[in-house]
Amino acid sequence: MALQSRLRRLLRLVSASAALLALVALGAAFSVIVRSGQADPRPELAISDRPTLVFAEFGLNADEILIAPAEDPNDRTLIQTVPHASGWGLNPSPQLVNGRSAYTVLPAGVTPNRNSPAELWLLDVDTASATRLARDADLLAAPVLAQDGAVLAYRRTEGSGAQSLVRVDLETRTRRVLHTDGSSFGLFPVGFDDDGALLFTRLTPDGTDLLRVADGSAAELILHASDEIARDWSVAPDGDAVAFVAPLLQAERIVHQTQVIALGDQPSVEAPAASLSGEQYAPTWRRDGALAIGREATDTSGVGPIVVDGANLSPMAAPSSGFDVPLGWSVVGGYLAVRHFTGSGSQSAGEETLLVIGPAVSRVVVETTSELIFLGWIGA
Amino acid sequence: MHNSLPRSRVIASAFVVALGLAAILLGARAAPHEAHACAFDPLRPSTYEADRLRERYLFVLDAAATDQLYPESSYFGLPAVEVGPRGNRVSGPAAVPVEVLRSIGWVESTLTMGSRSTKFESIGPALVSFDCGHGIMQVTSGMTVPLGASGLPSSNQIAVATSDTHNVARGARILAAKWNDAPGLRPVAGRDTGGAPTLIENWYYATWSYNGFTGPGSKQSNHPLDPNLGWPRSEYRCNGTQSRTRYPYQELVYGCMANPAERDGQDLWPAVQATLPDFSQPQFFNAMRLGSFSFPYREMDIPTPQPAHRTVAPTVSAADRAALIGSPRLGIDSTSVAIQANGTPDQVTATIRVANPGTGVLSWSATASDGFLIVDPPAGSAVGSGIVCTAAGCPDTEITVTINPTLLPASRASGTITINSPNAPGTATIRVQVFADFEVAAPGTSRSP
Repeated sequence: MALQSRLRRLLRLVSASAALLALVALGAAFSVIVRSGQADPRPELAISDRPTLVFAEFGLNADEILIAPAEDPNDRTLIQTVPHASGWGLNPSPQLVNGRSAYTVLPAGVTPNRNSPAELWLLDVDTASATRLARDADLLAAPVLAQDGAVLAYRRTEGSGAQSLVRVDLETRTRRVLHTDGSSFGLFPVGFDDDGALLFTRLTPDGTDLLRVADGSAAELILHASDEIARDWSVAPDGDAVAFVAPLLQAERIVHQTQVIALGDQPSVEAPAASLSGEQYAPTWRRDGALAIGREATDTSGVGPIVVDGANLSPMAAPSSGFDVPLGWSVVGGYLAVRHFTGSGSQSAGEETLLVIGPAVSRVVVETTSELIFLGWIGA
Repeated sequence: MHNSLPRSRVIASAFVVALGLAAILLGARAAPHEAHACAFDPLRPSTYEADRLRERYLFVLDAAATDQLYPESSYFGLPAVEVGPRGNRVSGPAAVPVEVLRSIGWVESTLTMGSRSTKFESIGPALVSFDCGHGIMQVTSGMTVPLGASGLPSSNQIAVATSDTHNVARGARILAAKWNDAPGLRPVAGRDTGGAPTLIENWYYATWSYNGFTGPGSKQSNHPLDPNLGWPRSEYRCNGTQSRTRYPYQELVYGCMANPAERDGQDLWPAVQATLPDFSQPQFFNAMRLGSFSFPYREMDIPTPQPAHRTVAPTVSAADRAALIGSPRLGIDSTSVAIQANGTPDQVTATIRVANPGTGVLSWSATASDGFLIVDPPAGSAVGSGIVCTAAGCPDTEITVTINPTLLPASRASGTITINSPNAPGTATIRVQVFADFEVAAPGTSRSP
């Protein structure tokens, strides 16, 4: 009897120890889940209607997301800190949409390697909050947001090596695979067209194809865009055209030139800046349908972007030396953020800075000691 | 025969069970994000971390680049590096450019053998990434599963994980093997210079391959014209101010060659402004075309990017080499230990100190005879005379022996711990006696005889 009693006491003690441990573990696990799913929400910011630049400053182990007025981009406000695997900064969607940005990032603690699964986050600039949406994204493939900011698409690589384009409804957080391809070099989400279908490119040994896929439908080829690697894709604000650069041989050099595809029943390709020789960079749409295009510098002077508006080609404020690569127009198009390079072109790019070109021929450098990553614009 | 169970014994028994449960819970939480198993999982070896200015490691890199560490070894020695144009490759000297090798080491690990928690000039946890990259060169090949007898790590794996000289030598051999993959498996860089391995620029594809010869659009793409990588790109400055996300691996390495890391105001190595291929030139652009990225990549052969730079082969004397490798000897402080499983906290573990009465860095591994004995770390380093080790605990390593109570065959059991070294002669055996006088049994505990 005494033995049984002692046994009961022992078992009670063991059970109590185990329960206590389990409670501690559950508490810790709950804490981890809560903290990792919703990053440090902050009170809503008082953001003015003035054009405001949103960008991240790279840090070795964490990036800081900042906002700053276009007139004074060095007057910054920190809105979010994004920890990441050492050396690997966040990779954002090309533009902010309705105050939202999405980015992929390698979380701290995973192998600091481009092959590791990245997390996909949604940033709401108005509330300065970030929400994790997925943990299976490809780091190098930037996600894209629809024009209304209600949907995004990102890329993931399956265990088989095939790549999938995944649609995320930001209201319901539901995810659906739109398209999977295991035979091409890779898929690249570009944006959404005016019907809400995802536009994406596909690299094959034959070159670059542009395709579209609507939710619930099979992907369809729009056209073969280039026999080479076409890059710097961007979708027009109304979703009825896309711009990109593709390489061609010009005076015994390979240069990239801008092309525009008008989407529709009979897609057509135009070269709106064909009269300009030399390397071109990153055609970027303004809200009114104009395009800013970067160009390499000449031997003697710096070259700013050119604005193509119909048949009109207007140069923007040029640097004394170096060249600019457009990143994004402010919402109503008064300011253009660019990457400014001190060198002469792709092969000798020199140092890079983030810079805002404003009205009245102003060029303001965003001061920093580390890399700046453009996220987009808010405000008017 | 006891009529009553002492409270301390009950508490001790519960403590042992709780420890087991805690180990299970913690083990589950500590599981890596990726489903990898590495050579030493679930434990981590320890290693010696040298000086903050990386003087020892730079010296090791010099010796490895010129095959002066383990030239006789088929695993750690360099192979003959092939030279000549496609179709006429012949064996050349066993050497790799030290400029490329040390820059790879910096990109991989910032030239550290230990994890971030391991201080310089001390012994601590080894650097093991979740994809099983080990040490300075983040050697992954051959480190993903234990390859020794009885499911244990092999002596080569132990050396790679715990010995800086072996780790760097293995990384150099892997780099040389990437070079030798051309022309059968990889393209040739330097088709106009006879594929000379003495030109740093000709190592473009071998460097790319060290991280994976991946094509455009792949998740791990290192293709320089991949649309996912920023274009144009300023040079990688190698100082922690730029994200690696926009750069192919080989440009990270070239960037670190040109922009040496700095400590105390001093560059850690001489800057070399190696030239990257100019993709505005058709001979380089065409090599990177989508149609060219097709096995065996013959269309990707390129001339040497100009201006080219010749490697400066380091000089390592026989005496310097001997000092690096040393003459380690295995020593232990006891041949028998005891564990009182239900004793005081001091009694529930045993410790064994592994020393190196010789010179250089001793690598060792500890193997238990029975499943109920747990040795941690399972492998490590101990430093001998001539090696600076200033932190507490130096120059020896302490092995902690604990028991897994669920595997105890009886309340009194014994086993042995065997300590071997891949770079020192002899074997040490330590007898471990375990006392676990539980009078009652509960699930997960042993029974009294």
